Amino acid sequence: MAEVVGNGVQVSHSNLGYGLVLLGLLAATFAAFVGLWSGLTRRETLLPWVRGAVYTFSGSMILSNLTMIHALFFDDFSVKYVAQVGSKATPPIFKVVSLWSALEGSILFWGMILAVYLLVFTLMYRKAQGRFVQLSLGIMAAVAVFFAFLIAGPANPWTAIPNPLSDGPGPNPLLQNHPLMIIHPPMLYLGYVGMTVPFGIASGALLSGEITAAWMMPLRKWSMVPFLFLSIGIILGSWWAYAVLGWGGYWAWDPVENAALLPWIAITAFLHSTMVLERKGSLKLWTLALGLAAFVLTIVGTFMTRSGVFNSVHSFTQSEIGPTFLKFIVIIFVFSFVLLVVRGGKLQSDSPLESVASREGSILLNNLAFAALLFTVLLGTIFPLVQEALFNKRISVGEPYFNAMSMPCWILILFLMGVGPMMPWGKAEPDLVLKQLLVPGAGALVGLAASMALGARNPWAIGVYTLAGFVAMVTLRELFLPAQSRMQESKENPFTALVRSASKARRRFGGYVVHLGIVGIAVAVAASSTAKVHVSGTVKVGETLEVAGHKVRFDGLSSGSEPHRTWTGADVTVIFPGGSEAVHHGLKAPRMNFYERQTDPVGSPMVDEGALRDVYVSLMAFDSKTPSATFNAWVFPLVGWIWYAIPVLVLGSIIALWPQGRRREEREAPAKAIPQGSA
Amino acid sequence: MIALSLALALVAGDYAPARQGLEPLDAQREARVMKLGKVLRCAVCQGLSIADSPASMARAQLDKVRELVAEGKTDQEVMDYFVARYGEWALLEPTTNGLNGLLWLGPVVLLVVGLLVIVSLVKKRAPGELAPQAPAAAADDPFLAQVRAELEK
Repeated sequence: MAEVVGNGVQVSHSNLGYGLVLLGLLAATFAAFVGLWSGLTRRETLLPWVRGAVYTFSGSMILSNLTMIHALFFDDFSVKYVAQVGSKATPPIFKVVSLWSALEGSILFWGMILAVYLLVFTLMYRKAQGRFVQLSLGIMAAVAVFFAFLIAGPANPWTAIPNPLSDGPGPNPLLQNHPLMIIHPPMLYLGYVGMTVPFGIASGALLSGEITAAWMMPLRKWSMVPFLFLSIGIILGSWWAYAVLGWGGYWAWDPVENAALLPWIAITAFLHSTMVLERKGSLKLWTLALGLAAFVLTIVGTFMTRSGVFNSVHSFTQSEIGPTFLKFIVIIFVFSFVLLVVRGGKLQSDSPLESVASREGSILLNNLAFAALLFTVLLGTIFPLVQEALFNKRISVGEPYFNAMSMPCWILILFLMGVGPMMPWGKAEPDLVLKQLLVPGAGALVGLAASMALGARNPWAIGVYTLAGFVAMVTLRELFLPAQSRMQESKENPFTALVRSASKARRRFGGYVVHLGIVGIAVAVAASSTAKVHVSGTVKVGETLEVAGHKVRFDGLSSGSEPHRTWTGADVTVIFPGGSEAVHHGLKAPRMNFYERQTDPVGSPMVDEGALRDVYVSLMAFDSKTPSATFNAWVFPLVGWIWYAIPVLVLGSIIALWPQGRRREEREAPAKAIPQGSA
Repeated sequence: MIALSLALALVAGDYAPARQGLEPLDAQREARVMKLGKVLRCAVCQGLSIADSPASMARAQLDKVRELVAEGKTDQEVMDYFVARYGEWALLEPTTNGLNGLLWLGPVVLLVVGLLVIVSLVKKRAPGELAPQAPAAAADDPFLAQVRAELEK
């Protein structure tokens, strides 16, 4: 409700912000309608109108978000959302962060991310012509309509409060517990929302019945962007769980974690099959289906997270938007399905599969492994819901199931990461492949020998280390062989040769760098989950608890208070096998945090990070009279490699995404973008 | 406010969520306890096992497992004990009975069918001939076949 002052309407944050959302909704609706209608009826002169409407949507959505940040910053409690999450005592940085700390704000924030994606996409292809662009933009704008509608209606953060209070409760304490929580959600959102672009391109291709060569590279590059952000978001999320929740793990196959993993699996499979699409012109329908699936799964995942259908740690964002999401899921699912069935036949394969022993064959197997993985995770996640809804039977599908079922898929994927790059396109000659096998084979033996020497007994883990050695050697050879031949032929120095060979094939080079990061993660997951050592016990002051050669000495209890919580910590000193010590006292100690509105304390563990191992101690109970403390202590080998892989993934993705020279791209993409049908 | 005063009281005093917990059994039986703890669901947590969860309820449940193992119960008997109390929900690893079979068989079937499809993709065009560019439906179309025949004349 707007506050009416005299004859005019007072410009308040609420009015301005909500007005901008309505303008965005209007512009997106116009862009979607005109884009799709003119694209389907081949009225190409209307394209500038579509672009203009997209720019309007983007501008108004970005401005609406800035208005909200302004309102949060200046504590305007007459705005419903600010009244819900703001407080005067919140530090400035957390005032901005509270934009995504609760449901309505995070949906508004999604709107801004979508606006930025659409803005960048439209600007990048501002010279492209043809109905394909109209249709793609139309679909993306249709997604924008959904989000603008959510913000304007079911998840409206802008409702004006007539008699605002003078202060608010502040954002969810968990969000203020750890800096990772500041960047984990935006990374996930960037990944989720980024799926809109490949979805738009793929839908445009299906609607126009043609995917031209010029659009295959954009399709692949635009799927790398959400792939990267989603990877970062997932890893940061697991790091947060590890560093904050204190149960000594980073992945629990929780429905909310699975919700992020599902679109990641789809987009990763998609990234690989687009190579076959681009190179051989085949797998068109399958690839586009994966692109559509990645987007549908994103929305399904959001629904799982946001509607509260699963009772999980993240369900503090439960709300009324569930039904709206469910309708949207049905619409996009039916749309995608019908599109694939009706238009799929138009996409013909340019070249057949000659042999499974080929690059495309290995990518097909990779896609099969990812599809099986996707199916397993999806089935395991929704099966308890189905059982309960249909038969009123409550069952659990947890870690043992997911580990057992997904492990063969992960192993197959790791194997293919090594075999695939060794295979030529077309058909592999057995003796040529065998000749290449020497170096990677040696890598595999090193991996096997090292794991045996270090005492690995778990067969899955030994398999992972062996394959990791194999894949690492294949990948390093692919990375450095071109440089080596340049050094020999052109007498270039090693650095120049590497940079030049990389810049000649950026996507290939970047892809292999990403593979190296994934190998690191595979080894880290295998080592930290199979070779961890766990001890629990109660100790008095001065006594130690020994875990895998590390001594944890209890030095006494300490406590403190912060505005939003009080805490008690058990000061400890970690004594390493070599005799050196690390002191973890006060806020660095394993603690229990007591929040004002929660009866149960929230623990935070102590993590002593190391390149080769982490020492991890959780406080389970304490007694201040004795004084004594009960600890859960772990040593996790190599666990940090999971998060240290993030920079490698980023580096590889940036190399792959780096433009091949602006002029060349502009010349190629738009010129060929005119579909043959419309000529 | 009540919560805050409770929190302050706790800070000043103790926090022992459960009994201090039973002492671990000998290594062999303790390994069994942890293995069982991994597949049993903590009654009050978000899908964590009683071996993983730091919640007081989970500690108590793990102690129950210890007790049962110490009494000489088999793994199956321990799991049955928990199923009898909390229902099938207590098992993090679903059974293979009835509809649950789908969970275990579904992905395997998908993998096998997928492999067959990939192999059949190759076989169809294996003999080294030029692959047909037109889809099968068009090739079967008698009208198009006639047009082609006439064109080739």
